Amino acid sequence: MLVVVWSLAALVAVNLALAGGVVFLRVRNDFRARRWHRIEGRWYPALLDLLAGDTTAATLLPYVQQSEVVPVVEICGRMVRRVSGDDRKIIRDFARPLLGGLGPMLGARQPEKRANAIQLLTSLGTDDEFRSEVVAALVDPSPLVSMVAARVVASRRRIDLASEVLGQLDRFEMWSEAFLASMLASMGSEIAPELRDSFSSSDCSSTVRSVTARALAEFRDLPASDIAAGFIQEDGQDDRVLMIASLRVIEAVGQTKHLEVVRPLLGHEDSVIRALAATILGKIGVAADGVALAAAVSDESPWVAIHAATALRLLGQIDTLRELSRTGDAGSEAALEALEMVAS
Amino acid sequence: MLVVLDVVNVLALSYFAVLNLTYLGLTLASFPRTHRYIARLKSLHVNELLSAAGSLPISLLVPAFDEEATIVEATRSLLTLRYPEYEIIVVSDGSTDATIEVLAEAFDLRPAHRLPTSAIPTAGVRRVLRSRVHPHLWLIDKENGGKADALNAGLNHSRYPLFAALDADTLLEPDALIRIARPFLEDQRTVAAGAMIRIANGCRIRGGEVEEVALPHRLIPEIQIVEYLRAFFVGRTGWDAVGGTLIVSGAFGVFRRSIVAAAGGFSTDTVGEDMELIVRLHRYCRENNIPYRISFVPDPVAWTEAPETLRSLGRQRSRWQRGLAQALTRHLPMMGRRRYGTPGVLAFPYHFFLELFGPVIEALGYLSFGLSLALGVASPRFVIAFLFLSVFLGSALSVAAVALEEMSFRRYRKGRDLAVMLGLALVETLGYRHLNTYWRLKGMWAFLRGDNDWGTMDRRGFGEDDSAATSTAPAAGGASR
Repeated sequence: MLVVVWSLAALVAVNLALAGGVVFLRVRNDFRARRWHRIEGRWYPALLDLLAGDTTAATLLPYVQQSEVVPVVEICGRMVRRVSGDDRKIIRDFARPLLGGLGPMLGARQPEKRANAIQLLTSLGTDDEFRSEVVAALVDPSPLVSMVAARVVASRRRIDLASEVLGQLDRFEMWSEAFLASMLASMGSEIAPELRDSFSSSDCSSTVRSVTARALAEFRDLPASDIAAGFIQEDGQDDRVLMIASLRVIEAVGQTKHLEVVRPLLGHEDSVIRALAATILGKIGVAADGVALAAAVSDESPWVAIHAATALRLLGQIDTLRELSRTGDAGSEAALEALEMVAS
Repeated sequence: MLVVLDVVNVLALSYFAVLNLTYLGLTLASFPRTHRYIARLKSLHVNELLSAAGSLPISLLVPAFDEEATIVEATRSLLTLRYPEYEIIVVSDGSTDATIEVLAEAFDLRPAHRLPTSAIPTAGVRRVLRSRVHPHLWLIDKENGGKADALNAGLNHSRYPLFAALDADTLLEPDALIRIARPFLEDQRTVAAGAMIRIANGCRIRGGEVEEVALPHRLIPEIQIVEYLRAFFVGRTGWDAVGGTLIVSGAFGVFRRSIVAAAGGFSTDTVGEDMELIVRLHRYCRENNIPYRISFVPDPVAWTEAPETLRSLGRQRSRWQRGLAQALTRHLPMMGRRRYGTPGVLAFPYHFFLELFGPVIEALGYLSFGLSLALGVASPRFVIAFLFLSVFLGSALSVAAVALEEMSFRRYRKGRDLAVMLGLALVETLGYRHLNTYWRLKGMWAFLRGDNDWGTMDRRGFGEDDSAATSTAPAAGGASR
């Protein structure tokens, strides 16, 4: 009996010790939070004074203690995201001498720390600074670090590093294509030639070609439409993903000369391709395309029906839509929906 | 007699050992997972993701049954969410009160046409309305068919690549959508993502937002807070770490529309449609060789109201157990088969043997333990082992869940709250666990009888000062698992 009692007491003690560990964690966290608030409470107003011109970086910098370098850089990193123009430059000028303190973070074992360091370095450094760090981060073994570097390159519109980013696209295969395309597009149309090269290169993976095509569509790159049309004509049937990306390019910047490539696709077996073809016909098609589109309003896929009805509206064929809306079959609801858009 | 007792004792001990060791493993997986996630948040800021043009649009599906008192506020709250592109589809599931009228008046809803994009069978849709002041707000007025049926109607009418399934009484934090959309950006194989569900009882709520997080002053919701921390920080995070997520809470989850529609939508003949869908998605994707991922993300938060009475809590837990039984028995062919990967080999057997049959084994174990003590045949070693495995290890794991909260999001800042949570974590396995076992046994019995009723859920509602009158609402919106 005594053994049982003592054992139970020991178990209670162990659990209490665990609970004590959590209390210790709370105390430690509170201590850290207080320290952070103290540093923030001192430096945030100081940085506001700096922005207001009430003090200078040279006056403030000697007050940054060695143990405060990283928190102060983090405060600057947060602030620099909220300001623009001259204010941004003032913060960067102040933070620049402190950035060397991020060195240990850049070499940290944890990829999240390295990514954070790259984020801070690049948001507070100028374009020419830390180029080598960014290039190294792009080929970092961790896709997270590489992605953070790529996003930095894109958001800062570092055209000089565009090819390095494109070279890493394969590593971001898991990321959403729309996200990657928008990231590339944010670099601006100056990188269009490189994107076109990737889009048209059969050496690149289907994902990379699809992403670059979507990026080209985002900034409405006219020459890309010919590449897209050429692909659809020659290899389209072999690669659904790329076919869809190519159609999106034509949807964005297609011209009437591409209609011959698109029209047959209204009868394609894949409903996504039929729907995209209908949309394109609505945007660049001619009145004669109305017949095929009217038939597509009764397509078995509701997506095709909706896109076809919308296309008819874009072509201005309101009477056809009215007629379709009275049929009472599956397509009439799509026609009514399109007519409602006209009314609104 | 003694032989029977011995057999049951060994069975119960083995059960507790396997259950708690599994939980211990999940806890050990959760710590580094949570730690890394928090670190990752620093390097890819939510605000930057929010501004990324590549965010996938989301349809919010809000099933509502007789929610006239809360639906306008709930909708207003959804309209203020931070996300680049989303639409709200409220589905009135045959409401008998003025749910439709109050919405129509508040948001100037007018009849509209909207062609369904999938054809999942549902109870009849009477009409579709659209707001003239918020064009991305829609209302579907349909005949009553239950929560899953309402979600299916919403799914049929949704147009965006992702949809979120919500309870009408769930409060989403303003950046919950951008946070939960993250796995869909970072891994395009993601077909579903679950979020953290937290208990709003005791919190100060204003304008549909949780202003101040605090523990309630009632024991029943308080103890559920610890339970939820354990379920989400340890269970969900741990299973996510090993790729075995089998549950995404019905209170808030985001799904890829095309895959869910292709898999047949929500099952209408189960009370556990949230779990059933996830198990089916695993099965569907594996059987059709579709690369996929189902994630749990700990930082998007949905606040929900927890039952405040034992009766209501008992009904909820009994229903969850029935839902678990329905979901698992329907997909038994997944059990232990390598074809279904971690979900089939690890998660399914765990849920089947330890969660589904757990209450039966536990109840027998407690009975047998009591008898062994009464008859004086329990050896000291057995008593210690039993109490260690059934009580102390469970408490330690609950304490670990509180530790995970403390090392990550620290929502409960008051010292008193931490003390109460730790105290409850330590004593939760004494009494409360046994009550749970009893309710789950009732759930098993109801399952065996073929009972498929949702029952009712007593709700106080989210008043400005958390003092709204108690109401009893048929659980169309359901409760969070």
